[in-house]
Amino acid sequence: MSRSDIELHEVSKRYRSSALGGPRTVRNLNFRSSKVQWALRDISLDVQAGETFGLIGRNGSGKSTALRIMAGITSPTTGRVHNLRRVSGLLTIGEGLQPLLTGEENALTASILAGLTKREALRRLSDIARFAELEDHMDHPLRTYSDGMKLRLAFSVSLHVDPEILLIDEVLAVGDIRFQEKCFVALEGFQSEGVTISVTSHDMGQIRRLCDRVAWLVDGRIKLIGETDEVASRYENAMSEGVPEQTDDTATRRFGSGEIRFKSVQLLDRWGALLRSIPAGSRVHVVADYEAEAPVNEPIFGVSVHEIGSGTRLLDLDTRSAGLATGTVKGSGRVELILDHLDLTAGEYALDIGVYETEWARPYDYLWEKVDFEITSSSTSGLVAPPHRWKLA
Amino acid sequence: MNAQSQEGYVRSRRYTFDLVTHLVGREFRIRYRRALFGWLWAVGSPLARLAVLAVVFGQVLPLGIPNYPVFVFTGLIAWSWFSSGVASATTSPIDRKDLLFRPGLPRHAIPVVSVMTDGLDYFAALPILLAFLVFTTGIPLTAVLLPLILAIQILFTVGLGFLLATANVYLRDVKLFVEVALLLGFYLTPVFYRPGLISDERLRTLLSLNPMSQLLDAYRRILIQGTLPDVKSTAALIASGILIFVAGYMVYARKAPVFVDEL
Repeated sequence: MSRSDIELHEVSKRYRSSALGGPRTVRNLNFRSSKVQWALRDISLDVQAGETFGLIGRNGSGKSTALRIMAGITSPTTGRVHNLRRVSGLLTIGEGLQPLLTGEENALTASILAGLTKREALRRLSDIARFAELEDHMDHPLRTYSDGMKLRLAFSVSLHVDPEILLIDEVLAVGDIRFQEKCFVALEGFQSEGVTISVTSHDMGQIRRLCDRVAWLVDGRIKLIGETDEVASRYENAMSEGVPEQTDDTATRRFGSGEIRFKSVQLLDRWGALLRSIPAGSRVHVVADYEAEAPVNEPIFGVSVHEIGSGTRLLDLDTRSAGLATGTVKGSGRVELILDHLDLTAGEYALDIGVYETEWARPYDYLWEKVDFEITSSSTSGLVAPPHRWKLA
Repeated sequence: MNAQSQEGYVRSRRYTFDLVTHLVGREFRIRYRRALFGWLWAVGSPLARLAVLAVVFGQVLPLGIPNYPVFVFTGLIAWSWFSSGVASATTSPIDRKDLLFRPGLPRHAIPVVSVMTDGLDYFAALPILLAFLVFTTGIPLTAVLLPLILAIQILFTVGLGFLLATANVYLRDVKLFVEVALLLGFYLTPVFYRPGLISDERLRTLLSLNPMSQLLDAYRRILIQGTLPDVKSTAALIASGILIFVAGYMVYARKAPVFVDEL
């Protein structure tokens, strides 16, 4: 007999717009202008015990809010929530961690808050460190960790606290592919043990792999709820239909909605000379000229590199992750990515370049394998050749 | 009670103990992280303040209070706990928002942990006070009432902490207001003087409405004078302490579930 572990009954969540802005003081109080925004409207759903439930939708559709409400981190404005078992969760990487304390202390706090006694928590520390591959960093303060390390730690903790209900917000999208795979394997282990899981993701590949059922949220309401394959396919179709006048020309290896278009993309060396054949470890400038007919707000520029004949991306860099604000783009302009050391081994590579809507909703322009180049004079095999030296003691 | 729920009960008590001690220890480590002398500052600071007050009001402007250092120290450490407890509880949901973002944490633990961590400073200074007492007036029998007076003070501190923490999440001016109020409170509470020194009758009555003023009087009676605290005033303190605590708890409990929306 199935029973539900998480139940939401007609849940709505309202944020005041001031809650979305910065901290409030008496001086910037303005009662008249305080607008309300509904993040969720009348959501009713139940997650069955042992089931993996996915929440999909664009940014701002309310899926993260729904997960926070399931976790009890915030409560709904109206409606009811029932959690029938202990929730342990992984919701947004940075916020649950304390930067001044070490990885070990953070892991202890997280384990104890997830319901372990101190002794149990201490006993599991080494497993947590091993899974996160942070054995050498556990006594360093968290502020010295990269985002990837924080994610690994947070993920590892939530896997080691005997979760009954596990909630995961988008974080599977971060981290390197090998670690992601390791997490998937661990999650699949939980699934076979009957742990109830709820995840949000943009990535339909992940959703299809993990979820039994999926709810698709649009503007805070459930658009469709049902079996994963059906909902995910309808979502994917809607996403591609929703893009205005998509050019998708496989011959030119270009697609996008065209608000911004690249006019030229070049690889240059530090003196501005065109590169085709690049000595390993040299400095490379990726220079792209673009044109925007109408003003475009905060587009995201991205560059990725893969080996020709293989899909694995060796580099995937974008202005958003780098924290660069692009402002309003209009007319023609130039964007440049400087790679101080292109530490790839000898081989043939291709570069993709794209410019996206500010919430990654769609590409304005994407050029696939726009530039081919060759790395020479590296005597190693393998994929990357970081600066290195050998020593014999 | 069957065996399993018995075990569950023991486990949950064990767990609550672990949770609270861990959080207090953690709070403590965050505060003294990267400080060379660490906790010594917590003990050193009231001693330094004591020395200054003892010089100023014992020598420069003598107030004529017998055993003045003991008198001041008794009031000073109690006031310090109250004032640092209220201040840190007020900002605790913001300072420790990482805890609010974790499922499973009882929300009301956050200000309580703050106040308890400040209590460590009090208990570090307490042996020094007792040593002072041994070498001056001796420790009277009435000192056994200390836990009662401390408990009343904790009710006030945590209750106010709940109220102010809630207010501060919605209006960040509250923290600034609290800082000023506590600074003035130090002078308006008889920490380094005796209320009897206030010549204006009405002012004296007005200032005696301050619960901290009553509490400091009780501390001095049981620790220095060896007399029982005033029964009527203690009853009023207990009643108003419970009132503040319950009011604070209710306000906090109502708003805490949506704190993260405002952080």
